[in-house]
Amino acid sequence: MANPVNRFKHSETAYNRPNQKFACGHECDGKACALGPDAKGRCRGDFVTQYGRRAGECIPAKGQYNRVTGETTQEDRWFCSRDPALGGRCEDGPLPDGSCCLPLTPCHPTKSLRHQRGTLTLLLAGLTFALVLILFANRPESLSHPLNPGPITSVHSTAQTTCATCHRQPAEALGALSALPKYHGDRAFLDAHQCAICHHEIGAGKKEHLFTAHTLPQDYLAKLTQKAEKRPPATVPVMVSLASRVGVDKRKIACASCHQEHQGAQADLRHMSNAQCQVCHTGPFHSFSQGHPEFTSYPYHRRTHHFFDHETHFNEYFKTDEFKQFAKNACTDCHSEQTGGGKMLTGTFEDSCADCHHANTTVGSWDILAFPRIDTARMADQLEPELAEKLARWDSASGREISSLLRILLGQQHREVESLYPLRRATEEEKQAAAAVAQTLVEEIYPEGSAGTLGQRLRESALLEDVEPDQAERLGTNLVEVFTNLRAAARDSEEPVVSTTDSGGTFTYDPVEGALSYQPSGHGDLLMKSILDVAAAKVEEVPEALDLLGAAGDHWQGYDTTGAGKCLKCHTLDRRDDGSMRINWSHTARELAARPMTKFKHRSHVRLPELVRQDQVLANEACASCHQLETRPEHVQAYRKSFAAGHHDPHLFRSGFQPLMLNHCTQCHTQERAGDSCLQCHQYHATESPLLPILGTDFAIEPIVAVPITDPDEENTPQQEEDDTEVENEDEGDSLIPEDEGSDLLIPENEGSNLLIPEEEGSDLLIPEDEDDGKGESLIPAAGDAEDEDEGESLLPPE
Amino acid sequence: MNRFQKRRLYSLAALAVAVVLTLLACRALDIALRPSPTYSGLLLLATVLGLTLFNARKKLPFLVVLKASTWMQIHIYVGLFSVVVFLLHCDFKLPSGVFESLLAAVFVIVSASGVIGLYLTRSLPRKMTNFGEPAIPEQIPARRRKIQDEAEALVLKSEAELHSSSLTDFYLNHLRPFFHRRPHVLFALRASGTRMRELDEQIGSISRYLAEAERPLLKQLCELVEVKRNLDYQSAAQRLLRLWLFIHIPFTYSLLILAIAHAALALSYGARF
Repeated sequence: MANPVNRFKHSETAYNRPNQKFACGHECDGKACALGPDAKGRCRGDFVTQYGRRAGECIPAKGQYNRVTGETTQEDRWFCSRDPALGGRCEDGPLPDGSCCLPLTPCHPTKSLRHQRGTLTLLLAGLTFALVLILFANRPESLSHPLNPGPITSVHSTAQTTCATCHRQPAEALGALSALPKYHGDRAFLDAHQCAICHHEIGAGKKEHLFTAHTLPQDYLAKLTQKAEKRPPATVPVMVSLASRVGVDKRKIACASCHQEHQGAQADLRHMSNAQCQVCHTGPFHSFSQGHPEFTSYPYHRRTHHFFDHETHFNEYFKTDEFKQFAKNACTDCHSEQTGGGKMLTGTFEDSCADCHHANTTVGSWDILAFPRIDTARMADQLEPELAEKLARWDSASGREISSLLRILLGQQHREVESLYPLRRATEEEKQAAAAVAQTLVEEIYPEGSAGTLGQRLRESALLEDVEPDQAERLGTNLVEVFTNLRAAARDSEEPVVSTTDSGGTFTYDPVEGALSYQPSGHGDLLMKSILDVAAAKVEEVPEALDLLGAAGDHWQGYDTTGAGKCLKCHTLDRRDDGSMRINWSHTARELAARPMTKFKHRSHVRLPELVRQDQVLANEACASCHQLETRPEHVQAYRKSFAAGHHDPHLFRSGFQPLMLNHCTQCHTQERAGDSCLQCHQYHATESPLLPILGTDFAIEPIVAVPITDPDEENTPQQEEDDTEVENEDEGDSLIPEDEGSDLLIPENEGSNLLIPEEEGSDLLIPEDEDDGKGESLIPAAGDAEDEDEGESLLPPE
Repeated sequence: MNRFQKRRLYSLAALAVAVVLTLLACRALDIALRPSPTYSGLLLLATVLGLTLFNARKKLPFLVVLKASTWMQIHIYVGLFSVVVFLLHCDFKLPSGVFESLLAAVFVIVSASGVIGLYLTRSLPRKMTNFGEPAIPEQIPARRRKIQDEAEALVLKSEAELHSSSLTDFYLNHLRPFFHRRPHVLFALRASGTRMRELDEQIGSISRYLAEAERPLLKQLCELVEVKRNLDYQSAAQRLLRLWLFIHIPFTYSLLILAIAHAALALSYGARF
């Protein structure tokens, strides 16, 4: 190297300090002065010393200092002090006044790179901090605020939606961070309550269920878990095993755990992976086709609400000359697709059954209000004067037996009715008991009491969860009105007075016996259904209620088909988990869905090309591909016994159809073909009603109405399919509290893992579930309404 | 495999393990319905704060906690790790909110400048050894001025002693702009430019027209050209080695402010653990 750049020698080279803030302005020209700028960046080129002398390339010193001897000589003379690295002493030396003879040209010192970088850092940090202050100064309100992390889904984004719609923010003066001082852990749970304002059907509105797994009661989940733990372990994906170690607390799952907002307008808030489902389950498996538990009794989970013996009908009745003309040849003669294609509906009685069964659904006249004779004379000592006065007017001293309805309404006192008359040989205690019964009859039941007393007793007796209390009371009030009016009409006559209702039922008042009887109009008579409901509700307390129900005899299947047994032989009488009894008028479970987290869309399956005939009519083979009729005699007999009188447990039954096998589904449902996502068959939330429309908000939401599809060509358009899926999913919302222990909604591999849906057995597996809930929640009004016509929810008697 | 290669291998292996573990953890959290963005966000914030400690370590030389070179290694690999955590935090998607986009943009700027800086600090010093003696940046202007003076002295010498203006004319027309020019900062990345070759060709072509006595002077002038060229490269490289910090450090502080604000905002709005 000819000319080395660096020469390092303390006497020849200057020492640069890059950490100093300023550098000489002449440095860029290679002529930096030795003094350099001061700490404040001022040039020292015209620096004047404290002695009034000007500095230059050096600050001259007086006297000459000898470093060796340490002595100073020539103390009256100025000497040059220029650094050797800058050339050493100059030839001319200082001026007489002690100033340097080589003055420096003043410069504008420049900032060092380090200082420039620091200034830029401070500037940028200041700007950023100011920007943050501006953005965070106020709580964001609209979705267009810069702090909004991203667009929310279109279903949540309305003109009224603000940040506060979903995020609870106290009104404190911390701007966007107002909630921070009140931070107590997971704010997601606070915000989740905001979700529940609209989606209050989640957890059936019960806070204790709102954040539990599947929004189900914990004891129920624990029961399912215990059941699942008995199963043999299966191979589990590694990630699932790993994730199970950090699993979320099943008692505390916020909505945002699954539903991640601010992911864009078209984000799928309901997406969940199979692994996410399996991580909580005690017996996870690899995939639907590999490890999913075999179905056992699926989908026939309980006996159907209505008794219908497919095997006998098709193989015996429909082959007789008498009924051949009414025979049903295809499944679709009775069953049709629900709007949206979710379930298969069962036709109404008039459409499906009346041809053959119309004649034998009528029953004889019923005594509604027939009062017993009361031996008032002999119990006078036991009566209060006021009660004695009422009994004096007791004009129903008939010989007719007390009506079953009154007996039922008397409850525990019904056994004392027999002792009301005569009291000739009665003891004082018996007379006292009889007086008490008489008091109940007169003051609480007899229509001459206050107008609502009978209704009150009816309401207390019926205890129907799905009947509004005032509805039951109105039934009683109406009966009182009918009774009162007819008795007034017959006041001066001994002939019976008759009144016909709009629905065809006939009230008859017999003035001689003081009894009101009723002749039902036929199948579906509302008053008869109501009275039978009351009777069913009182079976435990008043076993004689079974007589009224016609289910205590030894007739066909145990039913007395001369009376109400005609109803009960088809409409099953179930004992519920709480011990109460109820008659299933509807085709499907109204109260509690057994498989609240399973869904199945028939349309997607029965419309497969191989299952549909050329005329686009659903072929029997389409149904039979899954639902094979059980024809073995012993099974058919067992099926019939499941519906015999006295058999009230709906879960002890034998289906009329063969159970499904898992391979029915796994033939197509693999990852490569039809998909094997858990969510294809299962839904996470156990809800009683559809998730939509949004309720509890102050703006109107147009109800979603599914339009019946008439053109098969239009059914398969993508949009239509999407809409159908939407309706289907929302329509599947079921009961919060499953009644069946074996419904295994939590554990996929549970027996009858309810992948395919129909919640009940054989004949009713093609039945709508929420067709007649009577709560106006249904999103599918067309088909559901049609079904309702048969079921008649109102308990009001015809006017 | 030398010590540095071993160190790099071990560091990369550690980085790979950390990345895999983080990916698995986030995936497991997602599956377990735990909020992986919350955890990855906290990890990212802690990572960024940890990275800035490197700067604090440099500002506090009396606080001897590990060697600066160790800090540098940690800074490099933790920085690369933070990029992975950032991608996980964003779920490998571009943020759509204004504030989040700003934060992400600043993070990208800091990360990108860091990666560029890493490349420069690893590649330029090696190249600088090919361009003469490394120069102290603060002394480069003085060196440049000295070379200018020496070149002009040679030209004046030829004018005075040899009474020839050939070398002077050549210097004034071709070499003087070269000696007085400050190199562009990108010169360090494209040192073998056509302009250098042109200058060499011009020097080669003028030599045939010079007298015999002038040629030694031209040879010395050529040596000065080479020294100046090397000094230019050193100057450009030194400036480049410092300029990337003008982006990396200021934006780091902006990133810290925005990240802390973002964390506070997330805790205020629906955070869960």
